[in-house]
Amino acid sequence: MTQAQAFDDEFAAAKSPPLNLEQLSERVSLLVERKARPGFWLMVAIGATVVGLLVASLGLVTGKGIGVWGNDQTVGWACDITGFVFWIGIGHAGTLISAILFLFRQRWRTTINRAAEAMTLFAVMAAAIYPVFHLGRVWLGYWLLPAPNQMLVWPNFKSPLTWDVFAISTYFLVSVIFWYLGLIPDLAQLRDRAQLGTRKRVLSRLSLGWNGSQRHWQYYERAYLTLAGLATPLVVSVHTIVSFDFAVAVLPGWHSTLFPPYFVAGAILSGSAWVGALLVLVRDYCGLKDAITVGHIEKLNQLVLATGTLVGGSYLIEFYLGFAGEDAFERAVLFDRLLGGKALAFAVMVGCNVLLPQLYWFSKLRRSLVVTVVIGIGVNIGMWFERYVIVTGSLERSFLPSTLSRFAPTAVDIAMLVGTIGLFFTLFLLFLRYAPVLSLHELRSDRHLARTEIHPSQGVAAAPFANVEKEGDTSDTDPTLIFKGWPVESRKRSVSTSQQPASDPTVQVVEVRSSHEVRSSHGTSDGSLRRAPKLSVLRGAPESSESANAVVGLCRDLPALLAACEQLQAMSPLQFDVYAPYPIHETHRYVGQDSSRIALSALLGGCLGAGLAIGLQYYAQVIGYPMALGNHAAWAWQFAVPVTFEVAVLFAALGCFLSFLHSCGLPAPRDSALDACLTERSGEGLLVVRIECGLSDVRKVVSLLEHGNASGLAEAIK
Amino acid sequence: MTERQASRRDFLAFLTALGAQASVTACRQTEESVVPQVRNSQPLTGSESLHFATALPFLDTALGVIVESRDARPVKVEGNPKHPESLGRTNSFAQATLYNLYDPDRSCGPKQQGTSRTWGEAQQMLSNWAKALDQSNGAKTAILTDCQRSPTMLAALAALRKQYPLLRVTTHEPLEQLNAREGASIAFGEAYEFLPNWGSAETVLILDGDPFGLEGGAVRAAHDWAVRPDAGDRRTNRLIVVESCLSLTGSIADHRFPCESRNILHLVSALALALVKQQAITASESLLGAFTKLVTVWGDAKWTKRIDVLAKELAEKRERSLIFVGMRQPPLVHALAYWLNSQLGNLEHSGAFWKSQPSETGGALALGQLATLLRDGQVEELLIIGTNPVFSAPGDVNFAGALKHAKRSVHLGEYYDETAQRCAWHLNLAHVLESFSDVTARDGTSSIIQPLIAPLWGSKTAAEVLMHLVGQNRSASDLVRDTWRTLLGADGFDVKFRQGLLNGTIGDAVGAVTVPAPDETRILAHFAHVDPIVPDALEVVFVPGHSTLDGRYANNGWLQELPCPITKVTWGNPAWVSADLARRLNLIDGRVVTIHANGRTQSFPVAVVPGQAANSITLTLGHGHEAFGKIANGIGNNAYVLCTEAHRFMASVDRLEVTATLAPLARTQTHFDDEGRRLARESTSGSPAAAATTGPGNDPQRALGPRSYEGRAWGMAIDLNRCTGCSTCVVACQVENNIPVVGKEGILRGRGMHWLRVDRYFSEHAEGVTTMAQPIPCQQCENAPCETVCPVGATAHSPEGLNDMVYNRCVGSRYCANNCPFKVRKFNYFEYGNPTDDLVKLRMNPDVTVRSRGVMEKCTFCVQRINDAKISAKLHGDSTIRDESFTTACAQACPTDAIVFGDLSDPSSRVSALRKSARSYELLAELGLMPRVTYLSKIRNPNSEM
Repeated sequence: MTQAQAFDDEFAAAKSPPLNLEQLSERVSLLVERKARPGFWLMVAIGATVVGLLVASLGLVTGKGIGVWGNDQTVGWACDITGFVFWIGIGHAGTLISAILFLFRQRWRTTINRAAEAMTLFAVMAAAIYPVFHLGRVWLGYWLLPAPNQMLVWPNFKSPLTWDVFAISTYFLVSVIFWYLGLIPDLAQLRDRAQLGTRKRVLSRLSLGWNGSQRHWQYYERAYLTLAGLATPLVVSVHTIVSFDFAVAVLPGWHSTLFPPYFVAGAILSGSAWVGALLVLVRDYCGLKDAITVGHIEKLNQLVLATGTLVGGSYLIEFYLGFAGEDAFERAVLFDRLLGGKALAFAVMVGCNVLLPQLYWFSKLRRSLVVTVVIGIGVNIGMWFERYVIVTGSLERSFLPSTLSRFAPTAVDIAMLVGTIGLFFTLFLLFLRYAPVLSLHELRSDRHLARTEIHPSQGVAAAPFANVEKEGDTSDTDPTLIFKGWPVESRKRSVSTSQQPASDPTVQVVEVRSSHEVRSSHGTSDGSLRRAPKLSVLRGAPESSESANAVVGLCRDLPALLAACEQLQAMSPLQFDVYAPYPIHETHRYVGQDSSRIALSALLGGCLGAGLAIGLQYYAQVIGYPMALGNHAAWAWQFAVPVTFEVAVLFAALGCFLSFLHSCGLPAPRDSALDACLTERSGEGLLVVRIECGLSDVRKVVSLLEHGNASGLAEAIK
Repeated sequence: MTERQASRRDFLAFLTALGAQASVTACRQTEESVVPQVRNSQPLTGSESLHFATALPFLDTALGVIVESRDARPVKVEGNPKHPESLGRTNSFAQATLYNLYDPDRSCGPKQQGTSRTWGEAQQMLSNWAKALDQSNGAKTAILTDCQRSPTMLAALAALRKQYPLLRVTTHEPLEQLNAREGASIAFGEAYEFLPNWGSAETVLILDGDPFGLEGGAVRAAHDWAVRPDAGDRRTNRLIVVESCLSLTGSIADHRFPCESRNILHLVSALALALVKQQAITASESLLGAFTKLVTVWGDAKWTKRIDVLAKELAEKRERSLIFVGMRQPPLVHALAYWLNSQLGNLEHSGAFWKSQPSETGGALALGQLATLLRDGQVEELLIIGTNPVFSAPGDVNFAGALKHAKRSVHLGEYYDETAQRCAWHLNLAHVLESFSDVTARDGTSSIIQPLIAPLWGSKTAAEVLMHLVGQNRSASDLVRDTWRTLLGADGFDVKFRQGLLNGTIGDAVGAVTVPAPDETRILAHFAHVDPIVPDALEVVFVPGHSTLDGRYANNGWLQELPCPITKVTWGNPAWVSADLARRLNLIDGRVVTIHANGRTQSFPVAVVPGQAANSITLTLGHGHEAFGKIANGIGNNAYVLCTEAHRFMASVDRLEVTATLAPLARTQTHFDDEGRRLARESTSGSPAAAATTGPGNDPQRALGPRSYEGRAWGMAIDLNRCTGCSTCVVACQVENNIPVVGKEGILRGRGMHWLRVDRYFSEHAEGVTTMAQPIPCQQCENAPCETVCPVGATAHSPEGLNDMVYNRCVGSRYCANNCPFKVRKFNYFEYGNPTDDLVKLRMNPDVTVRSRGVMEKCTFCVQRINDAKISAKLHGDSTIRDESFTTACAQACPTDAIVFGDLSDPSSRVSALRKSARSYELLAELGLMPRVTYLSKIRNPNSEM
């Protein structure tokens, strides 16, 4: 009680003064590290209850049959596929924000991309439930996967449903990889903060032994950029392929080339509206007003306005094509939407998707948090109805009037929808509790980049590190910089209060040496730190430096670090690296430039994937199990495009990620010696330089660092 | 002990018993020849199909059928081509009779006051009764049977009457043609049955009747009407129907006019006057006076011109026309029709008369009289055979109450029904497929009914039970042989009898008779009893149930789920009301109304039906059982309550009360307007090409060239000109392909699983309503949209052009059904298909997979029959499969040959020829699907003056 009280008090206190970067970082870390706030588990319990509803519904669907839904012989798909498309649509915003905006260097995304990506994953999970459980025989659902089997039959690669399988799994896997890649440095940071124990062990495993080496950061950045490039076409392709489920069919109202762009626009609309509403809640719940600002929300709302209008245009085109054309069936479906049995659902869909976002023409509404939540929810209600109208509307009114039907959902249909919403929120709550809700390293990196005017290659001679006030002023005057660095308001506030005590010496030298026992057991005298699992740590001046094989220096600021690097480079052939919780591009020329093969691996992976996919499809359709389907030729390259594309992207992403791990030598055991330093110092924002050297060099290095033989270093000490 | 369930053990016991009977030839030699096979001379081997000829009594006639037997159990009923009433076709009741045979709800043994008894005990009871009868000579005993057309049964009854001269025998048959018979009595002085020759009549006026639908000889009638040698693309016959509610006959009419049933008499009078005016006929002054009086009272202006044209046409087509009156019209209308037909010279040319069945069974005692006698104690003992008067007694006969006064009451029936439960004893009657019996059809053709399976519950035939009463314990087989030995003569009897069993018909048919000229004075005398007309009063008209007939088929799931051919309602009997009445009373489909008539009330949900006469409400008989079987109980409402013994098919409504309740109708089709899409096409006689080529969808987009097929290419042509919409094909398909019944709840949720359905379209216009029926099986598209989209390739094309469905591969994504423009793919939403009851499993066709839940299923063009034919062709070294060798279940059952199936690669096949017809068109041709099913447009032959 008291602890919780104290925590809440701290939160309350934190509301008033704006937080600076370190405080914010602390806050985010504390969210994960402290005990959950009292209301949290109650909310999780409510969420779990709703998930129970979902589980019960799925039990009914599996145990009794699809008949527990309202579907009938005419309307084979209804709330099931509506729910699927709805959730997949929501799942678009995350990757859009993290990948596309990254590529466009929209740096304002940094505070929201983690949450948005998590949202994507959970939405895709919720979505995936539907196509699996909508199968009449769920237990045979694996037949949709291209697994070799004793029956020697393969999925039908000409079916849009098979394309869906590939599109959704690729999207999910690539999103997971992308999300996880971004999470690794943050998990490592949490690991470093953690006390010994289970938490530490788990975080060590999850962070794969990431230690913030600047060499690794180079690989990281390359991998992240490559993955962003790979994820970008996925954002477009997933809903395009989902729209093929409809566009490929012959039904009036489905059979339309308009569908792919129309679906993608709709997906982005629902996704960004959902992110906007969710972030308003997150910033309030987590006390992150300084990170997730009104500026962010406004940006998202601009996206909602743009895509909402696009979607409206699509509706217009749909009606134009229908009524300008000769197709009586198409017209009947559209008429049914406009004035017939689907009119109410259609009105909801147009009202919520097209008209509601138009309010965002007013900046006051755009910047209003309440309006954001209301419109965010409204747009998503509208988008659900849009899919409902598309899915059921065309099925209900297809070709033969004798088969006309009217779908009515059952309680189980509704329970499934509510249940998936519950699942989504439960997962999201757990995410808030167990993962850093903001990307800590990206925040720092952005701050750093902003200070050095985002020119990594310019190196040492960049702007002074500590002059926060000046930095704040320049960015205020330059609107282009606002979102590249730090949102205006919070930066302004951080200016006034960032009076960081600087009592420590600029460079603190720590000598690390192997313990006698360990050394002897390994039988090596110069094994790298990474290989030695246990090392004792000595602080202050070395007394028996013969046994040391690495030296760690802590630098208070960037110039000191760079000066030290300069000195150390002069001592060549010393091997050294700089460790920081964010990438420092200025150090690249000291620690060595990236020469990784990450991009090449992605390319090779992509080629391999495409080759495999084409080979598999050709084998399955022409050699292994040729079938006469719909009078189509056994092999048609047009049909092979979606699967080939998806597999290629998946393999490229895997190649990229594996190559990243390989380049960094991850996963690796936790580097305890370094870890100890980082645990101590990371909260203080110190930069770590580690020099790996032979025993004979240790004393030299230590004295160099401590006594400032080199001029740069001496300057720094002063 | 409750109802016994049949187990697999029981089934094996039956099999063993059957085998034993067949093998113990030394002591029961006759049993061996009991079941001569029509085809296939092999003894019982494996699961090869054997075919046996038998006959099914149906209303006032019988249908000769051939039953397929597999593993010593009947699995399919088809028509017997050698039988004149069936001509190889069937109706839906014949198709569905297997359901009753394997119905677990059937009575499974004798019962005394609800307690199960053995047949030994029952026989003891019958012998005791026989002893009592010996003393009383049957003075206070009555036998109430259903309509008996069995020579053996009639002989048994005769024997009974001979032994007990005071015994009363009477009939209760709710749908008996009493009015027609009485009409003949009025006209000719004696009861005759008139059988029109539908094949030769050119202009037919049908007054409130349904000869092609739910009247006895409909199979033969519809066939003769529709299948004409001169047909081609022109129609030479014209059908004009005046009726109160839309019937199948009305739905195929060239002209159809709604008219309240009670006004038909007036209409006939007006017609007679018009004919007299045109000097086509002559009538006495007094008769003319009677006509004039009626017409003046009626005086419906809109009919004046129509009747003149009608009279002109009938006069022109003298001797080639026919006026036919339906069973619900009063005797006077029948008599008038006989008189008019006679005057127009039609009786000799357009039909023939048969003497009515001997009067031992019919009309001796009305049910009401019997009830009175029971109450007065003049009848104390009652044997009820095969009829359910407690359920089907007219509302003014309280038979259940009267039955309480009986000192001894025995019920012999297939179900432990409402009557059985009120009788002291119940004996289980054998199903027709378990019975050895015989039957005479309307036209005098007799057939032997032979058992296809030993009685599943040890049941007995009616003749066997009757013979117990005269102290003889003889098997049904012996009784039948005795009868026929008498009829055929002992000379060469065995050969003749055996030949009769093989053919399905036995002996010489009873010949037609000539009738005297109708007597005008007798007709005139009946005008005195005509009820005064009440303008705008509501009438109720009672029609047989398309699924229940008179109630005896109510526990038949196949029939209950068979959509009403007109309203597409399943599982229930809504009251049909006209759009006009609905507007006046603000009624919508499903609104429950309470009808007060004849001092009684009954509630029904309403269905607004096109073509309904404005002030007429139609009620379907046979629904609303309280104690019959699990399927029948509580479905629909009993309409018998509202009729009276005097007027069994019509009543006037005292009051109509609209309640607040809504009872949704379980319909398989809810939208009856074709939205101008011209799916079921028609044209007027002589312009067939226009029918097929005008309107949307005649520009097939052959973006994908035709696929090349080696060998056979199966195809189907459906002639809408012949289709009446009777839906026999639907049941035939269901039986053949093990299609599950989904129940009322399932239909309400739109999950009916018929692979073949009959779509119904109405187009209403000033003159009434034009209706179209269109059977929709899987169209077997060559560019099948369902195939491409299946994620697991569970549906693919066969080398012979069939769209095959691989049930085992299906995971149930339902994408194929969504992408099917015809919606002929059916998804099994629950475990509908797999019966748990071992008895029910017996009725499954062993050639067709029983599908589990979660699987899509569809019409296969009866691929099991195709494969069977291919195997047999191969075995016989003959590579060609001709039309005659086999056909699909739907085509085989169709009474009018509207469905033709065959090999398109064979230029001599009928389907190839029909595909070339100018009337031929594809459904939704603009989608470029290249369906293997084509339709032939309907031709109407209206009189342009009318």
